[in-house]
Amino acid sequence: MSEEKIVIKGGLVLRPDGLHPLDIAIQGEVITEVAPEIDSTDSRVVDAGGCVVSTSFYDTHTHSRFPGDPEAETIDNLSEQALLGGYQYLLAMANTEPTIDSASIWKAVSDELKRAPIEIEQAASITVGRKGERLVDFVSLAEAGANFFTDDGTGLGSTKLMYEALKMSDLLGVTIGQHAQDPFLFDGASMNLGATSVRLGLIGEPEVSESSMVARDIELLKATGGRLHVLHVSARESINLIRAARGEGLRISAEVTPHHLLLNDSMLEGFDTSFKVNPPLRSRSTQMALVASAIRGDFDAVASDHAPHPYHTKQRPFSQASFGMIGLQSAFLASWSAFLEPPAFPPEMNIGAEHWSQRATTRVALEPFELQRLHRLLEMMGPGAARVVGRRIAIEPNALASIVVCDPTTESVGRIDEIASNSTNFPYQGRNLKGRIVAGFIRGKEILKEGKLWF
Amino acid sequence: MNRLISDPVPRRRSLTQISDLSDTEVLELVERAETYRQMEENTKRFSDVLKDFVVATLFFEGSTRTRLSFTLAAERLGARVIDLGVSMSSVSKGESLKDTCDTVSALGADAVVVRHPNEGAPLQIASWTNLAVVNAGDGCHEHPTQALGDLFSLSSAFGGVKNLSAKRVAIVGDILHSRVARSLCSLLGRFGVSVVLVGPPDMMVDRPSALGAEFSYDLDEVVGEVDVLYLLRIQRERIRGGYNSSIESYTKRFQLDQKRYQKMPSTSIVMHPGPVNRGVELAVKVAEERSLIAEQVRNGVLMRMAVFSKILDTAWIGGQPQKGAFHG
Repeated sequence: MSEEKIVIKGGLVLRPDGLHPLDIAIQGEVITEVAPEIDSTDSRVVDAGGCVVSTSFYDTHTHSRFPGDPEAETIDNLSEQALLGGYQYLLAMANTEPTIDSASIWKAVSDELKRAPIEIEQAASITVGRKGERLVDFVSLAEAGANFFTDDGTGLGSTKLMYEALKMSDLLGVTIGQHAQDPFLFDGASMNLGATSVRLGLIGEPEVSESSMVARDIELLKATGGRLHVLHVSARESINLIRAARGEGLRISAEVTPHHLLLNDSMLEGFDTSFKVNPPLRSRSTQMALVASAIRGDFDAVASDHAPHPYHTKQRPFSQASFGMIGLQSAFLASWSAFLEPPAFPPEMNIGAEHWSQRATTRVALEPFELQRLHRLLEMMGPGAARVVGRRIAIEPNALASIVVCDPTTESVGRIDEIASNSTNFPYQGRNLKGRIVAGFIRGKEILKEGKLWF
Repeated sequence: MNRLISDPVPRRRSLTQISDLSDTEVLELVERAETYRQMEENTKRFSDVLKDFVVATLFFEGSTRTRLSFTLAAERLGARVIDLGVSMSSVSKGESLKDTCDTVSALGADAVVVRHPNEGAPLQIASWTNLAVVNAGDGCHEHPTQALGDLFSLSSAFGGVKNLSAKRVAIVGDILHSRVARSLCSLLGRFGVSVVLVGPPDMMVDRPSALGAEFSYDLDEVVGEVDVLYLLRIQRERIRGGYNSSIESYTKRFQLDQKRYQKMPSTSIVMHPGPVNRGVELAVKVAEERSLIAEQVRNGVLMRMAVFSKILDTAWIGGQPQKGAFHG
């Protein structure tokens, strides 16, 4: 092999059991060695001092807006944000124009997505046109290659169709992604039901709108087999239900979004439509419960629910503005900022202090409990999210060298002009964010250097 | 959206919700309205402090009475009032809101009075333009000048705002959809008034405590110990999805009838933002000295005069050079 050998030195590396001071050697597309001190003679050295080194991220929830809405986003813009945000893979939702509801559409769109510099997997819808009336042709879609089916954007209200879809999932080995939201309880709502919605006079959606559907779906899952992924969990009771179902051995996974971790409904007081999202931002106490659950490990993945919209659909009266916010490029920063918010919990203060402090904290200036949280977050953004879509990724010899280097201690202020999207519905404008994506490799190719694209 | 980009031109002052005002400013407004009342009684003439100002009325929802009240208030102070007739069809999608407001700005208006069926629209206009925006009612959110006028009426009836402390006001009707109730709760609580919201469960807000109020589903339980009974108009046109309660069951439980009127303390007062649905929320002839309903209309104009003169006053606009000066 005549390819250049690269050694990433001096960082804390994501391993299943923690963050460890290790070096990584890359040659060609793969990782050749992961060891405490790798000899870097004849190699190019990438300095990861003060940083964590993780598998590049997987996003289980992206709205590509392709096909149908280039004014909101293009594949090029989306890819650029993904790379700047540390991603190697996106799962594109099916609520495009047209809906991805047949094998021919799925194939045509998937072929187009192949030209992106990262992997973009296309999901299919569960029902034709996402209308909730008739199932798509699961068999031909699965034969064409579709692995993930979702009507995301709308909850599948019909118990019968969900029952049938989960049976298909069991038969074909595909995953059903549910946007859990009761269509009747959500009807007319533009935000969370709570003190803020009462003051603003806006129709609010109660959390039980989500958790009641999660409860129903778990019952259906028990009756059918199959595999269920609960999209963007935003209700406290949903977490309890999912934990219990997992405990019973059901094939269920769940994701949480950075914005539900970092933001809450009090931010809507000024009727700023950039905070309008579905499911809505919840109360401060639910927000904190979601953060605590994420730290505790109740979620498999952090998912961006990146949802670009042309500005004019946001520049409307609140109840008529579009739902959704962009957040792919900022996902790690927003989630990490949220993870740092709560003080250390009692169990966190006891676990492995000597293990973390003596070995790890010499490389990254964080408290042991913060390093533990960082490990959890990177697990959710990389290997955990990959498992949701049936992949296994890790930093280990012979694995593909898709690697991201993050500095967890840098702070910055969110600025829309630094986001590579066509859209401007960015909720972190002016907000202090922690962390920075410093460098990135996709299949051994260095694509991000000092936070800038490089290829 | 550009809420964080610093603005070189001092922004004009707007009144989009009660929380835009400090307690001191509220008291100043009441005082100024009182001054206008004396001018009205003595000379029927007012100083034209708003000479050369252009006030636009922009009503995306029909309301002849409120628009006339604002128009009269602005004209009494010498402003030129232009009314932009807005057809409902052009706003039903909401897309033209910013364009419409840019037009109002370009026409040279200084202030715009906005009524809109969607909550928050006046706040959005204030953030998009440099117009002084006065909210004349936005969906189910707020109707601040109504509440301020009502505070003025209450202050007059009880001999000053300070005397309102520990008074008990019951607001009765469709609380869920009432912008008047939201503005009143936000305003009255600040001056020590205890507010109880009364209505059937399907017309009650989910968390009355968020409005700083108590609540009751039973008017009979409340009516004997109120200082003020504030009846809301039952607006069928505002209801999304329809009431569970029929008009008959509503009137049976929540109408101010002879029996309930007699249970009220003899010094208590009846208010209503108008227009009254006789035979629905009110079915009794309230003694003149115990009704503020007519007074509320008159005071509404005086309070709107105070609001105009105040928000177009230099002190509220960060010292921008002004066309007129306040002489009232």
